[in-house]
This record gives sequence, structure tokens and C-alpha cells, in this order.
Amino acid sequence: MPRAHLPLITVDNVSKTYGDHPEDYSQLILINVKVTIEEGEFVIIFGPSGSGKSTLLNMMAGLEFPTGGRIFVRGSNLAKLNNGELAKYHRDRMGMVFQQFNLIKSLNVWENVALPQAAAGVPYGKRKKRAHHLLHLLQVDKYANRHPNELSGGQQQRVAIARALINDPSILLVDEPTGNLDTKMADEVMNLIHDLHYRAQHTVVLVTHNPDYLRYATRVIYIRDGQIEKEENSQHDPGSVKPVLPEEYYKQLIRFRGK
Amino acid sequence: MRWIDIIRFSLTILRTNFLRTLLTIAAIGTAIGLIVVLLGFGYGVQDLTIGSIIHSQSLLSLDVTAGKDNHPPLDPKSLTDFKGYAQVKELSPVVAGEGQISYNGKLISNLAEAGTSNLLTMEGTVIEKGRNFDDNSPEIVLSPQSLSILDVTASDILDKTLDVSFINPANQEKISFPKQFKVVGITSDANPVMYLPHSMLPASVAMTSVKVLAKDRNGVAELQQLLLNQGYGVESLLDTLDSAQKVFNWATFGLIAIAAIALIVAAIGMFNTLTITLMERTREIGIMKSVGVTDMAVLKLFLTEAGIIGLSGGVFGILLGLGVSLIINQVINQVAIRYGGSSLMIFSFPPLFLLSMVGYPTLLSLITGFYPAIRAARLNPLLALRYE
Repeated sequence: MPRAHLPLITVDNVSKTYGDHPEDYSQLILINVKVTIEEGEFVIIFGPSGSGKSTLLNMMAGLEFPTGGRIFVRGSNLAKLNNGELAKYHRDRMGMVFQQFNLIKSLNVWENVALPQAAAGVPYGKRKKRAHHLLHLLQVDKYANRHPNELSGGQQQRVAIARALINDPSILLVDEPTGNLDTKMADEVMNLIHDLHYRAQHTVVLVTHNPDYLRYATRVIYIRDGQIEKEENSQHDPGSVKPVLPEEYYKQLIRFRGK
Repeated sequence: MRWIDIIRFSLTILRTNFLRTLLTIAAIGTAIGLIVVLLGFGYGVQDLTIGSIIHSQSLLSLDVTAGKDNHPPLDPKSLTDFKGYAQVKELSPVVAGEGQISYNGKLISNLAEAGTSNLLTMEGTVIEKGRNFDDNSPEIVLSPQSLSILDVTASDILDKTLDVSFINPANQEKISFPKQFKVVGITSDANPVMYLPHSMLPASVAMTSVKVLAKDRNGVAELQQLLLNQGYGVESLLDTLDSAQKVFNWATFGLIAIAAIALIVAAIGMFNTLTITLMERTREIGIMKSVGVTDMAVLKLFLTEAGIIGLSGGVFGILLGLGVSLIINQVINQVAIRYGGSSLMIFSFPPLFLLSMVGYPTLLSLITGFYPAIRAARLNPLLALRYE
């Protein structure tokens, strides 16, 4: 008998309530949600604010835990991980990009990028080199020694993306990446994320309420009032998006993953 | 996360909040500085006092006085008796009273001690110029203070003869000597005091005390007991040293209490700073955790920051304390020299004390930092990320 296929992420009948009373339905954020994410996908979770989409993403990230149901990442139940294993999951298995960029102000750009490496115990010289290389590939290496607040929003988001990529995660979890950016920068960041999936072979789960970007996804999950409305596969031709970085850089980004 | 990186991040964060870090270090440093000055002064005075007690007389000597109502009395027989004790190494009769000398038409009074020639060494008195008196000659040893009252120098007066009289302490009668006395030596005494041979006094003059030197430390206690049992009054230097030590112990305790209050104030300040830092950095901690920094690493990071502040406070405090002490000492010495005293170090800093002044604030800051550190480590990353 062939071995059962194991999705990258399985969201198994997950519910989430806030507050002390799990039965209080006014506090219900998610109701019996079932989602699977396969390797190589670009999934957009789309819904209005308050629909529970960010909560779903945070639970996949292991930052929140379901009150009902389970979440598996490559077969292991996130709720069953101890503190150390969870930290390792945050560090090595997933890379997260936030709407607020969430860079540490007291560290400079490359130190921010190298933070997950420092957390993993990678020696100073090695992680500095790797961070600089990645910043170069994302074309923000000239800001390596600046502090985050000296950079534009778009540049900061690129730095945040570099931080998410540095430990070569199996999945990128992206939460409203364009919420704090103007249209031009927003397009650029979205195109870059698109490229990371299409040209650098990253698996991406992205949360947004902006319908303009739905066409980039291989699959869109529509969510409303804590429940999944529908799922739709995209008809989009990914080749039609003009690459943000020089073609050669994507090949290097793929090689970078192997390091 | 590696320790080296924890320290590196701590230093980066402390540098980012440079002014606050500096102020916190200054607060702890000031408290430590105060302790260093206060206790340094305590140790210094203690050293000087005990040093001078030990220096001025021998630890092995006893002063024996007549019993209550002159019973038993001190007489030539008691001297012979004392000499017979196994614990006694040597002794000297002492008649301590007032002496007068006249030289070049000037008459001065000063303290006078008549004894045998070994009295000076037993008392720890050093002869700076000339020699000790001979037991059977009309010779006298003077102190520099007497010379300055007479307004002569040592070389002026050495080997000169002068008229001496002695006031019998028992009845205040003035005893004049038929022969003139020759000045043979100058001591290093701080007080105006003169020494002369006991044999020059008439036999009728009663001894005020007998200075006894024991053979060893045990002998001091044994002799003391023996003589006390016979009814003599006995005072030993060890007693003086003991009571001095007690006074200093209490004084040190008082100084430590003052210093401890200062340190508690500094510790409260540091607790406040660390807690505020925690609140300000809540979001940062959330970010760190979301990229995989462990709870343990966050704990270590906060404790390291607290430790660095405490350690720097200690080092700064010691430098501050030493600096202030030196300045105070300098000022006091200037005044002392102007009034004819000699310059000396009134502060003392035992190395172990200084070491504890680095260790103590470091330990204190680690204890103070523990609560904020635990709170930081336990922060929920998602809530922390939402914190504005």
C-alpha cells in the first residue's frame, strides 16, 4: 500500500474562541475550519477584516493555538510542541512577514536579518556573511548597516522578507504585507513575494483583504465570519508578472536555499 | 543563542538606551561610591588606631597597679615577686608624673616617666637620635615636642646638661636633683614626655605602676589572672585592643547600615528602570520570539543586561569612591601639615572589600532583574507583537 500523502500544513477542523467562555458564540473567531496547504503552493487567504483570517495564519505560525481541532505541520501537532520545539519551528521551519514589518529598532538591518540565525546559534562571521548575501540578492544590501527607521516602508518590508528567508524555511507566512505601504511600493512587494514563489520556489501563505492581488495566488481561500466560504484555483499566468529582481538573482536565491 | 551573542545583543540594547543606561549605572555607582568612602574611612581609622596601639606598646605588656586602697602595694618586694614568675620576661618599675626641666633660662613642664632603661622598648618607644639612658647615671631622654617647647633642635641639646625636677605624684612634692641631667636621646613620641632612670628618684617615691612583659601571648592572660587574684590592678593592651575592636565593629555596622540604605534606593531605581525597559520592549520581545528566540534566551538577555548594569555600577562606584577618598585625604593632609601634623592615609581599602563592591551590586542587579526577566521570557509573543 502506498504511504499516505502528507500535506505541508493540515488545519483539521479548527475552532477558535476568545475569552473565558468557549460556548460564547459572540466570541467565536473561527468555526470548524479545514484547510490543507501543499508544498509549492501560493495560497491567499482572503476576507474582510474580522473574518478570522489573521487568526488562522497566526495559528499556522504557532503564535496562537486552536480551542478546538488540531493543526499539523508535516504531521506534527503544533499544540503538542514544547517551548524549545516551538522556538525551533519559528526559527527554522517558517518565515513570517508582518504588516508592521516588525524589525527591531536597536539592531541594524543586517543584524535584524541575521537574528533568526543568531537564535539558532550560528557564529557571528557566518551569519553576517549570509545576511549580507541575502540583502544583496534582494537589492537592499546598501542599507545593511543602517537602522530600520532610516529606511522607507518598502525597503523595510524587503528587509523583513530577507529575515523570513534567512533560515531557509519550508513556508513563508505573510500577513497583510502591503497594509502600511503606498500603491507603488505595495505592488513591488507583492511582485517580489510572487517571484519568491514562482521563480524561487517558495511555498507561501498570504493573508489579505485586498482583492487586487488575488490573481497572484495558485489558490484562494475565501473566509467570512470565521468560516470558509469557498476555495478557488487561480487561472493566472504567473509568467506575465515582470520580475522585480534580475533573473539571475532568483537562481541564486534557489541556490541560497540549499546552503 | 550563544552566550557571546547574548552579551553582544545586551550591549547593543544598552547602547541604544544610552542615557538611561548611564543614569542607572550612575545611581548604583554613587551608592557604591558612598559605601567605598564610608567603609574605606572606617577601615582606615581602624588600621591607624590599632596600628598605633600595637606600635606604641607591645602586645605582650601588662600594666600592674597597686590594689584597692594600696593593698597589696607596689614595693621593691613585689618587683622581686613578679620577677620570680615563669611567665615574666622582664619588667620595669614606673613612676609616671610631671617633670620640669630648665634650660637656657627656660622652664618647661611635661610628662615624666621614671623607669629602668628597658621601659622604652617595652612601651614600643623608639629613640630617633642619640641613645637610651643608663640606669645608674643622671641621664634623660626627651621627646621632640619638649624640644619644640624649649625652642631648640636635637643637635642643640644632645649631650648638654640641664636642671631637672620631678613632682612626686603621690603627694605633689617637688623633688629636685643635686646633679644636672645629661640629655642622651630623643624619642619619636607624639606627646611631650621625658624619661629618666628610676634609680635617680629617692627610694621613698612610690611606684605608680609596674610594666611587665610576658614571654608569650598565653603568658599575658595567665599573668593577668594571677595578679588580679592577688588583688593588683592589671591592664593589658589586649584588653584595649578588644574594646577598640568592639567600637570599630559597631561603627562599621553603622556605616554599612547607611550604605545599605543607599544601595536599596539604587536597587529600587534599577528595578524601576528594568521594568520600564520591559514595557518599552514588549513588542521587540514578541518579534524575537516570533523568529525563534527561545524563552530561555530572552531570560538570559534581560539578566545579562541587569548584570552588566550592576557590574558597571560597581566598577564606576569603586573608581568614584577611591577618587573622592583621595581628594578628602589630600585636603585633610593639607590641613594637618599646616598645623604641624604629619601626612597619613586615613582611608584603607582591603582588596577583598573592593572585590565585594563589584560582586555585591552585580548580584543585587541580577536579583532585581529576575522578575522583569521572567516576565519577559513568559510574554505571549502574539500579544507582545500587538503591544503598542
